[in-house]
Amino acid sequence: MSEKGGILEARNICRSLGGTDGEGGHPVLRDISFSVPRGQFVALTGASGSGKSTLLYLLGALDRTSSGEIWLDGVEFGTLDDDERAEFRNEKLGFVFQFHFLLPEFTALENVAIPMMRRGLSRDESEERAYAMLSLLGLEALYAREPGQLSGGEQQRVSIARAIANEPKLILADEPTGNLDSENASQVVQIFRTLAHEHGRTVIMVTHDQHFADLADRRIALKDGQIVSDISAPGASV
Amino acid sequence: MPPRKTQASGIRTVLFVALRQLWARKLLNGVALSGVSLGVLVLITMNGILHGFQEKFTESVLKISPHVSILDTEVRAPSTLLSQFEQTVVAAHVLHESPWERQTRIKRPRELARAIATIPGVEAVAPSVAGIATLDYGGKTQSVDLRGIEVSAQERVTPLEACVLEGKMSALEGSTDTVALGRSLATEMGVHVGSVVHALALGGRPLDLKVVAIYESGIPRVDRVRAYTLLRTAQVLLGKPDIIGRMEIRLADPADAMVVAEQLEVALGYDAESWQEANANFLSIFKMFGTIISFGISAILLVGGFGILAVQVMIVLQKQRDIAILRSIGLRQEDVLQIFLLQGIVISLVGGLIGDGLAKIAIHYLAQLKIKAEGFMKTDIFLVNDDPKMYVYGLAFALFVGVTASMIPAWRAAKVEPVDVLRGQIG
Repeated sequence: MSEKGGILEARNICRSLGGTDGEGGHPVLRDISFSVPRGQFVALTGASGSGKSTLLYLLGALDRTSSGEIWLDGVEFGTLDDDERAEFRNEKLGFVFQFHFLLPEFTALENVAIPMMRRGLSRDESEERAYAMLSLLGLEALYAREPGQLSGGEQQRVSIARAIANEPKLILADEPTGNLDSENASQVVQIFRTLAHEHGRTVIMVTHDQHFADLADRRIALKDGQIVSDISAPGASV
Repeated sequence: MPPRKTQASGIRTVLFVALRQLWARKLLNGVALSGVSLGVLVLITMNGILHGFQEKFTESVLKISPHVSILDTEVRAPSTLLSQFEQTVVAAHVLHESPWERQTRIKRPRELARAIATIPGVEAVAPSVAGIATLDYGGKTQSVDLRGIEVSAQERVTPLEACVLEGKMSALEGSTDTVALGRSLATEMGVHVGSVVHALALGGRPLDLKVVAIYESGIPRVDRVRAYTLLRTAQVLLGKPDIIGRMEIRLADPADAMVVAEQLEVALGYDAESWQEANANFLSIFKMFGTIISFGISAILLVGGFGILAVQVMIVLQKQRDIAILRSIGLRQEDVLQIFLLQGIVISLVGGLIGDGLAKIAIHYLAQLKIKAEGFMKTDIFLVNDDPKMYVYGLAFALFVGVTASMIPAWRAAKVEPVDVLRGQIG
């Protein structure tokens, strides 16, 4: 568990790409350490190739560190095998990607319901809860539409509903506003703020956009695989 | 929300995702499914045709042929003429032994028949004599395979009465000067029941025989050349007084014929021939056709399998992003593997069932086809065997092909690392 009581803690994590079994290769992340408490909205910034997406995948248990530890809610990822990581992602993590990444064959409601079905809820129960999630994001009227029938902003909100379906401890968003117009992008960032401040979810958002980064409680900037600044907004929860 | 993950939740999600994705790609999966259906259709109909003709041939052969025939040829080394007189081993032999002095008869046939009848599995035994004779009627002469029989005993071995078109086989017993002819032979000679044919054979006494029955066995080579008379009539005609040259046997199970023939040959020292051996040339044709058809069917099923493989591989390549999403929301490698395997199973199962249905229709219509075939078997309808087992085999083959063909793409899908896909997509 985090020494500082944070829900998420990264300890001296390094990640190299191109080597074998984490040995050698090009270092993408070097000695990254930080801790994030419950309910904080963190913006991860940096130029292309700075390692922010790689860090996000490591925090999301989608990739493995070359060295170092990542703790989430008292569990260290390195000790989990692939199946346990899958279950961990299902229960504790929610992902939002730049290109929405909804399953095209399923309706908005079903896209949100699938993680809950995988967790063990019946289809009816999952869809009932999924409808509630969509309503929370103002999408109740669009529940029966397939992704191709939704606008970019609507698709992104559906993917946020999917990310919060299993009430995860941590929501990870990789450039969620990168493919949206400014109005929809603002709306999405506002949703993350609400999820963090009103629902107690920890949110880490990778962004290029300084304006949206400024709306976060904390900004961690990466350069060449290292943290170059870690600034908390005045009055933000730490 | 409390975690309530169970094995059932995984299966439920896999089923939901697999079936929905399958339905969403109807055209692609339909192509793969058509390949399987076609394979099963061909498998069942071709097998039905082959077995239909084979069964009809076997049925016809068994109607007219004994299951085992003991012939008058001794399989042991022939004894010398001198040893027959000396009753012991002799060191000399007679040169230029005349053919008429050779032993070409079954010795002590009555005792032998009684002994054979006691063997388990033997239903009936009938002694007979056979030889070549010529029949003459109205200037037309035909060479025939003359069989001298004991009508009631022969009827128990080869029920000929059921094959009679005109007259009665039992009428042979009414007089010694009677004969029963195959239909083709009678037609060729222009004789009918009541006609009197002149018969003669080398070394025998010519006789005038009245035709009392015309039969049709369905085996053209029999119906064209075989004539039946009473045993004693044939013995006189062929010049083989009191000689029994054949012993024909009916078994409870014709499939045992080869084993029984082998045992009798060893025990009695006479050449014993099973019905399979007697018809080996025809049965080998069916066997050869069976092999050719099996190759054809295998090729078609293989193509069906490749159809599934190609479609699934394409889908896996197209759906890398979706696989990454599924993995990121908590589906395990095993779940992804099951999704693609299940899709392969559904394609092959539905394809197999459609193939079964199409085969049922095809067999129904083929069975109504009128044809005129008179080669080694006579038939005027298309012979198709509608064996329910073949539908089960068809489905089983389809499943085997579908599951095998889905293995590689499913395994490949399960091995997709979400981070590789996401890194590639997002950068």
